[in-house]
Amino acid sequence: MKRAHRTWHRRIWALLPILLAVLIGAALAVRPPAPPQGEVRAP
Amino acid sequence: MSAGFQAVQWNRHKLVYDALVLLGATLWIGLYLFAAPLVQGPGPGVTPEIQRIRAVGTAAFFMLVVILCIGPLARLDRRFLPLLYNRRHFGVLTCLMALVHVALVLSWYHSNGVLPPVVSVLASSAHWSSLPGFPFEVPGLLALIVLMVMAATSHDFWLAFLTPPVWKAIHMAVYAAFLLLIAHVALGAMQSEHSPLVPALVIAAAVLVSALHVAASRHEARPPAAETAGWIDIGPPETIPDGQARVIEPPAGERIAVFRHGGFLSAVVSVCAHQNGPLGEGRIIDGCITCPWHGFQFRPEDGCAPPPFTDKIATYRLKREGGAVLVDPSPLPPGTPVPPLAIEAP
Repeated sequence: MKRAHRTWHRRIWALLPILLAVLIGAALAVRPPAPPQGEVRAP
Repeated sequence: MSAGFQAVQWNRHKLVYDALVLLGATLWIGLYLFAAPLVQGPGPGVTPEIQRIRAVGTAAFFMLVVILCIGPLARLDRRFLPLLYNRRHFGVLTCLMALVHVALVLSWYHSNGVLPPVVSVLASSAHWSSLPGFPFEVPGLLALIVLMVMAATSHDFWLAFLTPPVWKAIHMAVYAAFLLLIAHVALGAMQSEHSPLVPALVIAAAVLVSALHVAASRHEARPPAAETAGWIDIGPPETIPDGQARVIEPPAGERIAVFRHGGFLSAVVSVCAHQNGPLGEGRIIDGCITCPWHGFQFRPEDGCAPPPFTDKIATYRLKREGGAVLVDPSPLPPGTPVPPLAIEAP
């Protein structure tokens, strides 16, 4: 494993939290609100 | 221990390891099938078939999370190393679990139409340009393909055939599979389920994996070593525990592991010839440097594996100058004998 590969690995590990945060944040932003109590939605 | 083809060599540790992984997955599936109806309460839409799909899918997801945690945990604390030895078995079982999940999905949702089941999955949504309607099955299928490639090439035969750097690069795709799997859950179950439990578990998994990798990366980072006319001062040799190494980070090239064995020092490259494991985190066992990952061994004085094995690693020259011990950062060809340097000055 050359030095460049090690740097590459570290960049991936630093990038991982950012990508995960963006992905989960975007999914949470578009998440539909829960239906009011008693309302039944079609599956 | 050479990288030649050999069948799976079962031993007690592997059997116990695989049995525990299967037991854990079975317990999770049983617990999910028992607890999910109680948590969700009575309601339409979630049939026992769908519960089974979700139970197996979540099992595969958490198995991958555990696999991704093993590497950094082993670097942070040696007590986790036994989990690393048969991680490939864990990976293959995770792939099989994901395949069962897909088989259940295809048979329940996509087997009654005119289209072939896999085509039906890809054609089931036309909302490719919007996140809420994005076909979440696609990242799931891509993650499965990555897991299948990794499982198919997990044997030592492929490691030798592809060479360790190529094999390692292919298996680094596990991080892509994890991102795809997070996308699969975030755009699928997290959108359709209103329970806060789903986003909480996804966020917990992402935070756990990220935090452990960042911690391991920081743990590994070392300040560059001090140089003297090209040679590097290794620091006080008497503080190296007997049978262990100090890892030196040269300005260029690989890390160097300076091992103390008895009253002597020997320097070798800190990268194992097998899977690029962190040799400098290993110990000397039976007179040989032993890789912490899979137990590959090399003699400290010449970097050669003991007979009948033929693997070799690079060695480095050591010298004493004044009171300091210095290492030449230029690697010698793998297998080059270098007389060990006595710790006590003559």
